[in-house]
Amino acid sequence: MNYDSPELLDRLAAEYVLGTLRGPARARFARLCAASTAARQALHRWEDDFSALSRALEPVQPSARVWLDLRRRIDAGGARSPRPSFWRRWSLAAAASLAAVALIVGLLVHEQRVSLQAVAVLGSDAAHPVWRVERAKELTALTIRVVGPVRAAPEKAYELWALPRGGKPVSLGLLPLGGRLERPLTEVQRAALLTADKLAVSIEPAGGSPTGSPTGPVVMVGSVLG
Amino acid sequence: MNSGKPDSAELEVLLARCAAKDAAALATLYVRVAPVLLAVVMRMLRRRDLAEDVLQDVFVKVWQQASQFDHIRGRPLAWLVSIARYRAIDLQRGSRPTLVLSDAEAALEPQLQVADPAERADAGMGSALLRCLELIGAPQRRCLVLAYEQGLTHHEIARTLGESLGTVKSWVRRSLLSLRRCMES
Repeated sequence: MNYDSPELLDRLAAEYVLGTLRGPARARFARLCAASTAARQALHRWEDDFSALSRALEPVQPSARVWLDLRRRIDAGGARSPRPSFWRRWSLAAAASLAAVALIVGLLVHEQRVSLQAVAVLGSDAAHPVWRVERAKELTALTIRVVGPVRAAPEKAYELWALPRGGKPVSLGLLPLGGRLERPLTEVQRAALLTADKLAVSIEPAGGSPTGSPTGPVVMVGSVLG
Repeated sequence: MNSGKPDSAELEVLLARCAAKDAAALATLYVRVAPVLLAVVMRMLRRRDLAEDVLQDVFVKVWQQASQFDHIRGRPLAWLVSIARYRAIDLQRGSRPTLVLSDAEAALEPQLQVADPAERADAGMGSALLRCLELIGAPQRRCLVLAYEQGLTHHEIARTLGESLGTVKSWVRRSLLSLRRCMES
């Protein structure tokens, strides 16, 4: 095959990343990447581009055993070398081995304890989530994270609504255009959320709906999960 | 625009510290990215036990080869996702449970609805790739997403969509070309 053709190189790189290049052709392209800067560049470009799809997935917490096994595996790898295992070296460096290990475990446990559960994911379609709405176990606040690109419209705002079964929509406030927002809930909002099976997003004037009900087009509706 | 996911600068620092064999950095990196990588791999392997094995392999590799992360390359999350996906693709050969793909897929789709497709343009413009994916035909887009997200081969995509192998191959090939052209424009 003529690997000098940039078009061919680009297509092979794309299919390698996509995963549709399989078998011997896949192995050949991997070897080519080790040898050719052009191939590697094409590969990295597609890896970067397609990773937008991976970012959109809802994260899954690994079971606790994964970290423990991983630590053992790495430690075993270290033990085969003449140097002391990295855990030991690190622990010694940290002066108090137990305290240091506890720190790591603590970090993981903490991360799990505050882990939020998804209330809904809202987006233009399944492949393009824009906002992820989460709650802690106690429904006192919502955490809203922007997980995809938001197009800001001048003089407009995106407003989030709970749609309680058989009731009128209740505003959950304006949606952030970037980053993450934690919003404490009022009793009314809390009650609406507990009976809502859907959340919706409408486009409203800057500052939000003047009437307390959606006035602009409803651009997204997402089911309340769980 | 903030994705809410680990940011590149932080991940680069953690990888550099892993390269220097700083175990605390590995633990932090794990907390930050393991859930993202597990989501990616579970979609491809459809079994938590296999996916968690892959996750472990990825972190062993990262620990051993963090120094190979090319800081000029940048995009550490894309690098990590790629390591995980390629490992999953290697493991897929022959060992994947056969499912009725359309059912499996339906179960995996987040529950989203589009209230008014005409408003989609207002709802958010994608990154270059997401924006350009919108511009290719729906069946062609489906081919790419099935391949990337679920690791389906040409054959499996053809079976899932009820199209011929030749059609799927040419759809994939042509939509990749359109994507590249679109992203360059």
